[in-house]
Amino acid sequence: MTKAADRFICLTFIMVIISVSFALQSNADMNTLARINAGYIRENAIAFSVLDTTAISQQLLCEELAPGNLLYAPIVNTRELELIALGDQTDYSLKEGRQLSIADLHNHGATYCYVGVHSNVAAQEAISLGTLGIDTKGLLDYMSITAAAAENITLTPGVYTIDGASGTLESRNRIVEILGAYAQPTEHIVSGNYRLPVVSPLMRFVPISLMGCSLLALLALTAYWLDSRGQLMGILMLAGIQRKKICAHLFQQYLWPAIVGILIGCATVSLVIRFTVHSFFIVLLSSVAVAFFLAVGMTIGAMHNNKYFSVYEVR
Amino acid sequence: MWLNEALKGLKCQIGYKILLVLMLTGCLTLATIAYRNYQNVQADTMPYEGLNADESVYQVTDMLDGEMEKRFFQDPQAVHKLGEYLNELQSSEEFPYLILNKASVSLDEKRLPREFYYGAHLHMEDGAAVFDGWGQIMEEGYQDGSLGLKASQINENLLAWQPIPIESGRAFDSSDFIYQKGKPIPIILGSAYRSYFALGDILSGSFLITNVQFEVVGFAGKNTFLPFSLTPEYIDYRILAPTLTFIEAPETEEDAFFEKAFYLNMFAGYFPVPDRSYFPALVEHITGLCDKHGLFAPVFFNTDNSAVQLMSLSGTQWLSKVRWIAMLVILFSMLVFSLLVQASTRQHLHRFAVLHVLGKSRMQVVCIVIGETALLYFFALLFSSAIQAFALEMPPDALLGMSLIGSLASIICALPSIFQVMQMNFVDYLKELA
Repeated sequence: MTKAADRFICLTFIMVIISVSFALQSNADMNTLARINAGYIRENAIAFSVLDTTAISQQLLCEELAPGNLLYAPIVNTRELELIALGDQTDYSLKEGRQLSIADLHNHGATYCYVGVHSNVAAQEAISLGTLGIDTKGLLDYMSITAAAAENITLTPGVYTIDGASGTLESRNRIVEILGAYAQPTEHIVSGNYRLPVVSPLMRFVPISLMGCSLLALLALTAYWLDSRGQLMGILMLAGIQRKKICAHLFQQYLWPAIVGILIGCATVSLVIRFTVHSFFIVLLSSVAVAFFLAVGMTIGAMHNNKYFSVYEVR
Repeated sequence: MWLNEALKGLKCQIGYKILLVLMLTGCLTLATIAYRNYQNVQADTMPYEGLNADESVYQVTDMLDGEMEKRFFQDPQAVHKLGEYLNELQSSEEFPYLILNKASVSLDEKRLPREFYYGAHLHMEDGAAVFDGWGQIMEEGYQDGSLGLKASQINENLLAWQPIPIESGRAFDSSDFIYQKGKPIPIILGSAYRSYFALGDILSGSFLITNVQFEVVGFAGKNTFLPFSLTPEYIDYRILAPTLTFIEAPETEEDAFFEKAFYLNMFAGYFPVPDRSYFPALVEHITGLCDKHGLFAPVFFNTDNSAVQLMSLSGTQWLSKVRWIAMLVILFSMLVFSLLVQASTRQHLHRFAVLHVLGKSRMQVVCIVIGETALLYFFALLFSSAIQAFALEMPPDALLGMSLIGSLASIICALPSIFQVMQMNFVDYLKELA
């Protein structure tokens, strides 16, 4: 029974790591797809209208944007974006090349560009920073993004879009405040050209819910694992070994199958999913932490549960 | 009897069983959400699935300027020749000729909101119109009623190539493509028209500058789009009218003009071919037909079909992602539940062994295992259904589907435990324990 319990703990950790990693990866992929299909601007992007032509320092615009936010000039063609300011650096999906950072915009007069493999735009004067695209073919392959570094930028009337995962509202409020009467907030209208299928917002909670279910499963199996060691604990008690030492032994014994499961799970995941080293270590360390806390919880539970140490109750 | 034993089994290790039911409740709820979502996405992406992303599409059109057109129509047989040419072109099976042309319709009775008319796009922000110079002209046209409603003409081949999803009513049938004087022209309306018109409504208006009557025969599904443009055209605010073949000779000058206008509008169309190597044969086919009927030479373009291709691709990618997540959740819950049931069975092995020694057959013991698993699944299903019905407001059919799948899954999950009990030598096990 004890071997079976070890096997169950090991198998559960493998399954938990694989399924949670896949769910996280699928979620990230869906977010990227949604962004690409909506013209490479997130659906929750925010916008403001410039009412009259005005000039503003590019550096000032960059300073007012929250980290990760990107400010685009009015979009005339959904396949050609013009970046005019950025919070710290871009987060484009690139097949090759590097991200654009604020430091690049200090090189006044330079124009940077990203083009997809099927883009018709050939920016001859621009410095190419990379090729847009993901593993699968999509709209991004037909897009181009340009960014001109200048001391001052002339904002002509039109709708300017601030894209970013968070902090866009604050960025817009600050910029609109600086522009005063020249600008007013407006809603960002998602490009209707690439209407997306309606994905339930609940789907975003799948990885977290899976983690919750995994934790419940691990708790149940840990209880079973401890129960399977009841006989052994009674025997060790009879042999005169201290309760503390028995619990320390249990702690070690629990961690072994858990660690083996974590390592197999992480190895499988890293072979199948294109995980970055950063993501790999996050999954690895968080799984080890979960295993450690479960082991600690189980040991404390065993210490305070007289059932296991009562020789009369040994089956 | 076995149910009684299964219930007894549930009472043992109650904390473990509660955790198991909670885990399963979460997984079942998650699996149903994922599955429902997959069904929704599948319905949303279905219109794009029929598109062949590898196809090349060529457009053919006339380049007649005013003088050339005038010269051509000096021939009294010109319209007849045009009609013959179009009939032959449309009946070719080797190179199906698809017609999808923009047209303009005016309705006498009802004034509709701005978005139903041409020139409305990109000019609405926060419910208020923002105008540039061109927008201003459009707005004036809207105000004085001279602006046309968005409409498209389609032929039968196009419907065969990409059927239009119909929400209510019917699609066009073959008889709708034949002009019958005095009979209203059948039309299919975009889904946004549902608030203004009903099936069977007879509307008066003008089409290709001719006064006609229309009959609403159907409403297209929401988000239906028409192919062949850089940016796909959604037809929610559009009227679809059939291309017409005129069998009878025109009686009046107005009839003759209507026929001529229709045929000229039908001269521009599309040819989807499997790949570019078919292009020379296509050119030969069209120019041959033009020569045969004494028509002017057409011009060919290779259309940019990339937007449609991308939509088709994006739909497939979405579907694959959502399907993958749904499968993952279902597989995860079944595997983990199976492990937990095995663990639970192992905890009760001594009880099963004693029951067997006391006279219960092996099958009766198996029934107890199945009973325990089914009861655990039943409780989880009950809680999950309650969460879905009250908190997530899922439709009853989803719950029914989940119950059926759940019943099957509970038996599958119990299989390793059943196998274990079937293989077990209970007497040896008890001896070992003793």
